[in-house]
Amino acid sequence: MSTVVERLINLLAYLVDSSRPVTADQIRNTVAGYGNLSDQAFHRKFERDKASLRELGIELEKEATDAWEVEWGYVVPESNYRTIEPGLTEEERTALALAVHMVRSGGWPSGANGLLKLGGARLADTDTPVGADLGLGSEYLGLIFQAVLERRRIRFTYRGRPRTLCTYAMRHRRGRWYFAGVEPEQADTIRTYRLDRTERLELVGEPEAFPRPEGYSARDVLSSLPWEQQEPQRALIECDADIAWWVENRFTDARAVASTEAGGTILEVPFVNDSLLDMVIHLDDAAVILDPPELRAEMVRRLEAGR
Amino acid sequence: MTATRTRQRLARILALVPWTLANPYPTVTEVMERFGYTSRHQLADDLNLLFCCGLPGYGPGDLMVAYMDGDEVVLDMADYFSRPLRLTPHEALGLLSAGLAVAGTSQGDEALARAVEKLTSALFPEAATVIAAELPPEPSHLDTLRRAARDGNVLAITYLSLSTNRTSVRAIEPLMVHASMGNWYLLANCRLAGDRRLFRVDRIRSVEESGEVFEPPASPPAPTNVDYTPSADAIYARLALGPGARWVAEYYPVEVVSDTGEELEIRFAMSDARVGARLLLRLGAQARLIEGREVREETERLRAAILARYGVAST
Repeated sequence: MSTVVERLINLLAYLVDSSRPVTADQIRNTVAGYGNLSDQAFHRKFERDKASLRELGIELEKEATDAWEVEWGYVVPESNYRTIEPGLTEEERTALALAVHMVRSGGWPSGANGLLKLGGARLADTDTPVGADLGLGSEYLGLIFQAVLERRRIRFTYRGRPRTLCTYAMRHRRGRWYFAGVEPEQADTIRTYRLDRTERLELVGEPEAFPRPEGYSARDVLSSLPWEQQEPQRALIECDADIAWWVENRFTDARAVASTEAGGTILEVPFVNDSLLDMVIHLDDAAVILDPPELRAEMVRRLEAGR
Repeated sequence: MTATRTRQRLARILALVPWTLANPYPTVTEVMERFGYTSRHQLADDLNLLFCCGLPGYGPGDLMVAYMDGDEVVLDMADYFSRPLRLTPHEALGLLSAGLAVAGTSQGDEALARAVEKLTSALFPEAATVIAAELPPEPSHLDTLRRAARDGNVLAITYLSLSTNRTSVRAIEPLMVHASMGNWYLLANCRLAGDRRLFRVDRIRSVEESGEVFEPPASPPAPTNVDYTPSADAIYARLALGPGARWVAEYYPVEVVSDTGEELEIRFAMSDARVGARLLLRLGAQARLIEGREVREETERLRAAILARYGVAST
């Protein structure tokens, strides 16, 4: 393992120390770790090394080695170096490091690398018994983030269908990442997409390809899902004593309307669609929908349908 | 795995070098804390590696100088690495979303809020409005559980089981709380089950301190995957999913057996037949059970029990 790390460090040192583009041949003949390889083996190794560097944010570029553009070589362009300097105090760094540490599920968090590049943070004790999963593993997240910040278009496949999107914002909520925007031909319909249903995503075209509507925020991302736009109705559910407390907690504005003889509670809860039926089914026979009658009838229909 | 470790090691070294050049002769302790080294030995390994790297020629005048001198870290002859590298978009998002998410919980403090604000304005001023990351709302007992896990207090919890909807009282040794897929979970040694168990925090009705203490593990266990992993005694069922139920194949870890376009046939594993029964009742006419005796029996039992509460006799 150390030989790979050594070779990559030597490669990078050679590239950044050179005042001119260096050719693949020069790299092969000069940098420690590439000696005695066949043409094919060298190219394979060099491609792999370039990919490793790219993942760390180091993107090699090709430039002509002379004015006649006969020969091309590699450079580490200026854009690889730190462009942001947030000016964090030690206390703020530590707070950020704790936050990054907390969302550590799913392997080494990308945020930890980011913080290291900003100079790390003094964190003596990381043994807090709190964790969270922000689902940061997807490689597409970086691309969507770039698309949102730079206002670049993206192209992707969503549930089997190709899409092009002007992405306005992104949001992580209830365990999932969502992003929202408009398709160029339908500029007045903002749609929300779920990252985990997205495939083959790539950036297309130049930055600043579209305007973001004034005042559009990440808070609006999920409101473009159809059920978030409906006004909730109210339902009455009779809950047995064991589970009534849980159902009541489940809603921010549930109201206990009455008690039953058996010690249960009749709760008034909001609902917009069938997902209330799903919740009630998961309570087995410990809960009954009383009202509205259509919802109650729908429940009976659903239960009898699969017979 | 090795590729990941290589990348992490390289990322740390390439961050360590410019920082040390900008802040010469830091103490070993500071470098270890700042860059997350868990032992002096680990840091020594990285410095030794740097000592063997440098510019072509690779003689004494070409290699970097890197070593520990007592309590100090010495680094020289590496000026070409003095500029810190940029954050990739993924790294910037990782940092920002972690900050935003935790700032929205009771774990967030003023320092974090300031850090997030500085970070967003450095990235670009609008970032705070167009990027949002939230953790699930914190159930009322979360803080008590977190403190008990930290301090090693044995608790008595009243728990409403997810699989049976029955309530039990259990003595537990809480190990850690963890947010995943929209819920908070508690990982604990359960004395009732005599084993490690994962509890949904919102299903914990009440918590009482027992007064008894336990020795918490030296470092908290890695967050548990909340997805169900089939064990040896798992129950299997095969279902045919109609167009309105195809989401099941995305949502649950299932095996797709065949897909006619009209119907998607899946096979899936569960710990308890009730999981399959509830799913079938939820899906109604959208799904059909092809195979699975336990699930079929449980579905019929549950269907009859629920229908009875609606005054409908089962046939």
